[in-house]
Amino acid sequence: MFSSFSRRQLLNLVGFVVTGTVIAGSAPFIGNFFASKAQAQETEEFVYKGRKYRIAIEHKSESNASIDTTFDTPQQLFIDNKEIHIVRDKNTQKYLTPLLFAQFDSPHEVARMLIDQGIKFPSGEVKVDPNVD
Amino acid sequence: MKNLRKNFRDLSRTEKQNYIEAVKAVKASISRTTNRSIYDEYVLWHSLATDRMDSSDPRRLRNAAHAGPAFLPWHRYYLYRFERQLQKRVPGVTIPYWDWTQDADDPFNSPIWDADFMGGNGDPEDNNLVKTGPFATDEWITINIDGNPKGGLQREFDRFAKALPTQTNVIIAIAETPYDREPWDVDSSPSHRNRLEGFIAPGGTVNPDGSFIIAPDGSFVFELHNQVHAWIGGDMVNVNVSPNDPVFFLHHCNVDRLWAIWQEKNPSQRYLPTGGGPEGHNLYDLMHPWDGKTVKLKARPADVLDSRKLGIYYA
Repeated sequence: MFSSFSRRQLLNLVGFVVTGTVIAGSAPFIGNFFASKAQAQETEEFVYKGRKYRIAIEHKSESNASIDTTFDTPQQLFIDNKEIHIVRDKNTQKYLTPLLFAQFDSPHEVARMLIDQGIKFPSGEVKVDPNVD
Repeated sequence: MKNLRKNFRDLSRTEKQNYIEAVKAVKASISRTTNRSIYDEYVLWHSLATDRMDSSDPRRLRNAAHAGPAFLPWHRYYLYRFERQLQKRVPGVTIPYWDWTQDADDPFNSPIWDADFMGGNGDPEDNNLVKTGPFATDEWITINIDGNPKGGLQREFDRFAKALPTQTNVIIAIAETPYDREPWDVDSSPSHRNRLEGFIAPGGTVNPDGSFIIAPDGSFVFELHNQVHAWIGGDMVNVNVSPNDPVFFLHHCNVDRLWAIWQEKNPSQRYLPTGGGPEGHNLYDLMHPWDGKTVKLKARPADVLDSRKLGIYYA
């Protein structure tokens, strides 16, 4: 039935399917989602220890595919609406983030580790005492 | 002034007490500008540098202090400043180093975790909070990257790395030249900086297709510097605020010692890049946050290449 749709059109449709999932704690909710014309994104929101995090799965067209032979970025992670940069090692399928000296099996593990550590993000750059030496 | 940094195993009981006293005195000193601990200001320096993502790195792994050439000079200067803070409170104290290869066979029982020094592992039944030693939860409050209190110190030994580095890892790092090379990131190989930082697998380089060599357990290999952060876990895994754990300074003191050994053994090898590399990582670039604006201090990699000019000596 989708034979008349291009791959990109189909992915854009898929991008508007929103999933609300609860891992622990509070009631289900419907999360925010978005999809650009350049690429489709499927977004899921989760709650862990009372904090929300969001994972966006990118469906990149072949022309937009990464040329990085080591890492790719198939998913985006957000905590408190701040994007947590994650990359996936193509060989091991493990995730790395510049925020953690460790590797993880999934973006969920990254999010849970950061939440376990009580991480909170400032709204802007923290001001330090310029006179400290 | 000559500051002799010793192996923590060689410290007398009094020297250990003096070091702990100095660290706690820095923690107890409050900035009149931010009303924040001076120790915590140092934690935030590290956090600000980590947040300074390099937009020229498409993976955004490189920042002002990690995954790039400035990794070693950035942390040398950081420890140099911190040591001066310690000495303001306890004259003559220096940062001891932790030669983790001496504990590779039995890392859980290293004397570094003794109750009279760094304290032990976190409590797995209580969010991995450290309950022993001078930095136990009732005595030491960590901060978040927003500068506000985060809670007690956390450690989780052996979760993210299954061993500490060995002498073989160190020998390979000391033999590896040049200092660094393009693309000046986690792919750089051969590269002393990248090897010591811990992004290259033991005994090898990247595969011909550019992918990393994989450990037998299927994991991406962290070694040396990264491996130690990962093995300790807890706050030490959190790149931004890893200096929340005072063992950070003993760990990085050893990393700096190994760089100094490499410099001595490879006198013809110079810091690279001298220019044309990523911003903040070239020889004469200012390193963030020591840019004269964020803080009044200014520091470039060129300023710290000779550790003896800074008065730093290793026993």
